[in-house]
Amino acid sequence: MTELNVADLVLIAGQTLGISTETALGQLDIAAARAAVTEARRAAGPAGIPGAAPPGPLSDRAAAATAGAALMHALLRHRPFPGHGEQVAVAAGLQFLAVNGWRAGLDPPGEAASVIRGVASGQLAAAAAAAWLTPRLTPVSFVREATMPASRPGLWSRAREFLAPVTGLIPRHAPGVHTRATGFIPMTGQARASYGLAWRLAGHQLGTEHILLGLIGSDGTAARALERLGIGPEAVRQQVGRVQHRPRTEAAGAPEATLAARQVLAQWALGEALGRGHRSIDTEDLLLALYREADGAAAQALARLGAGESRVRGAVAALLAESGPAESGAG
Amino acid sequence: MVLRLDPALAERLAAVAEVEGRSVSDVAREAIAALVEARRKDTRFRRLLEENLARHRRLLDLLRDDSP
Repeated sequence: MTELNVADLVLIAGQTLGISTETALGQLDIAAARAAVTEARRAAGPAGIPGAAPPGPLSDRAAAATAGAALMHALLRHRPFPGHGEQVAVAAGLQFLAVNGWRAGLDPPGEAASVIRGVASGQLAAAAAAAWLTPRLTPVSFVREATMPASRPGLWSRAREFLAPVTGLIPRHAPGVHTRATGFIPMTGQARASYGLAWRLAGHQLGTEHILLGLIGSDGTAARALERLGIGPEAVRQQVGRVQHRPRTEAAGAPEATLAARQVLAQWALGEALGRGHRSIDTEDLLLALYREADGAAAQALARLGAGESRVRGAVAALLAESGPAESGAG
Repeated sequence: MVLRLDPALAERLAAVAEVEGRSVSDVAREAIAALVEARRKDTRFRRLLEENLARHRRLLDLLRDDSP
């Protein structure tokens, strides 16, 4: 692992803030910078212990996300450049990931800014930020070798899905689910129940359509929002159609989630929840997240049912307003 | 300014500061400035930094301390 030192932070701050390195050095709180670098190294775990990990790129995605999030968290806590804490922390975190062989995709920026501010305010732990960051990391070598055809983004998505490491999603009896690709994802009880149903409905592969079927097959704001729009569970099942409604057998093994399903679970739904000021994903977050994967079977089924995103978002907002703040994972 | 340094590093800095008649803080900043200059010549580091800043400009603008 290649670490950043205090001098690196000065260079990064100067470039980020558009000031000379001399000016950046003048603004530097040396004690805070050293404290941040030391804390990040400790928080990164074994990979951050000198001698425990070989120098050079970090080969493990989760370890890279953990170390990058730890650095950002430490810089946000100690603020070695007073007045520019969040910008410098993010730029340093991105640079750390880059020199260790990873590129972060942080779009949409508003969602990423919410996460950063959550970490800065202490509402979001470094581990949660790492879980959010993990699926957004792409090996730099992979990015360089494959050039995205500008006119065919769908091809890029399919290529990434094909090449992505095979990953299973394993629900656990905890306030969230744990995935091998993303680590822990915080979920409310109803969201866990719907995800558990999706997992059982999936055959060898868990796609966005299974997430939708899980949502309409369990109680929660998502199912109630669709019902409010006159869309019952049976209508959804008919549209999804191709899915086999049979319990998964042990012989079939654990289903593997598609890239789209993983992004819905660990990226888009978490963004919806954070954007609402919640720490845990609820069923409505999962439902709204399905629209972010427009090519997915779930989004297409919802479109055919006349359940456009704006209508569903409106129904969700109305239900949440009626039920009050206690229903969701706020806090 | 109060510095929290490794004892060995603090001792070296204090020795240099004493010999040159300057504060430990000044010596520390000069040492960091030398390291910054060395890193500035690292073309890969600078290229990655420029790429990152260009790609995430909207996010960084959102995080400006004077932004809502």
